Amino acid sequence: MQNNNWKILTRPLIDDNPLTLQILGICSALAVTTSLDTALLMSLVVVCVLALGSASVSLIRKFIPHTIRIIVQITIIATLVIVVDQVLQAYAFELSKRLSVFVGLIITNCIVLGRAESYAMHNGFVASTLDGIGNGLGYSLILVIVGAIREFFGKGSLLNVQILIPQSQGGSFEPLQLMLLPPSAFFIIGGIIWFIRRRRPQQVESAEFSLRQLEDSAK
Amino acid sequence: MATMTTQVTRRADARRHIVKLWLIALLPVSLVAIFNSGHQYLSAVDSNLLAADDLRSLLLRGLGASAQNPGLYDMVIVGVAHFLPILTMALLVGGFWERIIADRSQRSMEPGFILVALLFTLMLPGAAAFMHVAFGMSLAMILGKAIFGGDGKSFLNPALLGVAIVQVSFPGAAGSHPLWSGLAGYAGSDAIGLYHRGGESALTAADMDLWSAFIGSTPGLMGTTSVLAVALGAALLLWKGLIAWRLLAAQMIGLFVFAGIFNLLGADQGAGTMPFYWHLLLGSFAFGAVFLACDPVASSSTNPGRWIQGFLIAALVVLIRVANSTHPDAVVPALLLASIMAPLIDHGVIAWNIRQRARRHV
Repeated sequence: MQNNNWKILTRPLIDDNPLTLQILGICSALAVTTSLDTALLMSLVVVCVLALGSASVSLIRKFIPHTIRIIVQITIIATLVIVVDQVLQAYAFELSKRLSVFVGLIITNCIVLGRAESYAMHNGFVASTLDGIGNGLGYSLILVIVGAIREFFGKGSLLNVQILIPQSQGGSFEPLQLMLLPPSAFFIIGGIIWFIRRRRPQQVESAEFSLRQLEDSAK
Repeated sequence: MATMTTQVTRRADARRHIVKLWLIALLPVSLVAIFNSGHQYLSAVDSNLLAADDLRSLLLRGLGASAQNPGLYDMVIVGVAHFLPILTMALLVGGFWERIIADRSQRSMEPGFILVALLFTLMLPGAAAFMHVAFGMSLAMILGKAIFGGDGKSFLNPALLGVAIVQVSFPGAAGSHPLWSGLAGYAGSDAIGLYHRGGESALTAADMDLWSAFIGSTPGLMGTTSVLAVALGAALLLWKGLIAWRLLAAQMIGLFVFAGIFNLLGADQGAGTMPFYWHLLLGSFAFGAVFLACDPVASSSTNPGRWIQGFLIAALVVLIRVANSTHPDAVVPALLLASIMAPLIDHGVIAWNIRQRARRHV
């Protein structure tokens, strides 16, 4: 049992990562990763919402009428998100300004609803909570990697501590504007997916069609 | 492929032959790039800039270049000193990645990277920094050639991708302003930007007329200034059947139509008043239309699709030029978008054709 719980917690980190395997929650991953601190805060918020959301749904799963289950799940998640948003605005106003609408948009984050619907509706309290935390951490892992890469190459800093001095301040580092634009997160997440699937070939999807290979005598 | 004498050709030989033809087609543009780089540098900097202490100036002084009353010799060696290092850098980086990619996929090195390096170089300003060249060329090879494609399978022209990445990553330095901003001591501006702000009189004030824009002695990205040289290259490629004339024609007609529409809408100033011939002569439209848009792999492969894609490119170029003064050239984003649309356009054309044929035989 102990072993099983550990597996529930760690499987979503790499083997069943919501971002890199299920390709969910990409939108927020593009939007909040321009710097490491927003990525970390967003991660924390999503872990909280996922854990509490899955736990609550799991607790009342036997009382939810099947036909309105999505509405109930959304209500629970939305309540949690609003509470978290208020807490952020009270205690970390500046950061919450920079996260802007993306805290509110966690409601529509497919990972949260997906875990509630596909896991918490069918499993017990402990397993559901661990599953929520695990998926949150899996999402966080990718977010933090992307955020660190983008902040480092885009601004030459990490957590707002200047590591490389940009040319505008007399240093030799040239900020990469590309990294501050959303497409760069696509490239980085794509690179991470490629890296993981090279290590774990069982994650590679079968091709939908194949290109016809003509004989090539170039060798 | 009328020039091949034997019927039995190896695929690799055919590829090599095509790359060779493309390189020949790019020769006039490259020569203009060299002359014009020298011309622009010498007319832009004041004479003591050649007295600077960097390696290039030192070398040029050693070779006897002078910015006072510069002659042909001065222009050529100054031009070579700007063009050649960038091309060499692009070739080295490109060759390095080609070597790695070829090793990994267990094939021999193919000459395609030379073409990518040359196209990439020609789309850069003469003041591009080595770091930018290496960065753009690396991503062109890795993203454009290794990951999304390989010869004959890429969905974007690798050189175009490299240029786009450089323009987006370093907007101030090499970027979307096709000018010589990287040159110390010269704060000029690009031709389209000039027109945007001051109309035709601003061009006249900067010594640009139709003729100089046609032969290519205007400021701009290195290989893109001369419509004459582009036309020579286009003639060779069309003669050899390497680019689709419909795509080229569609872009030219499209430019005429859409520029005309904006002229008729009656803008007071800005690129909206720019007649179609200035659209063609200024910026890198002509170069992009021939050498980048007509990439045989990354463009539409059906005939109606070629017309559609050509009109799309022209419409996007004119629209971005008119609507967005921060992106005066607009050719790179327009080509990228049209290139990505190509498979969709083809898909639509084929589906439409199937439906027409089915209807005929009910």
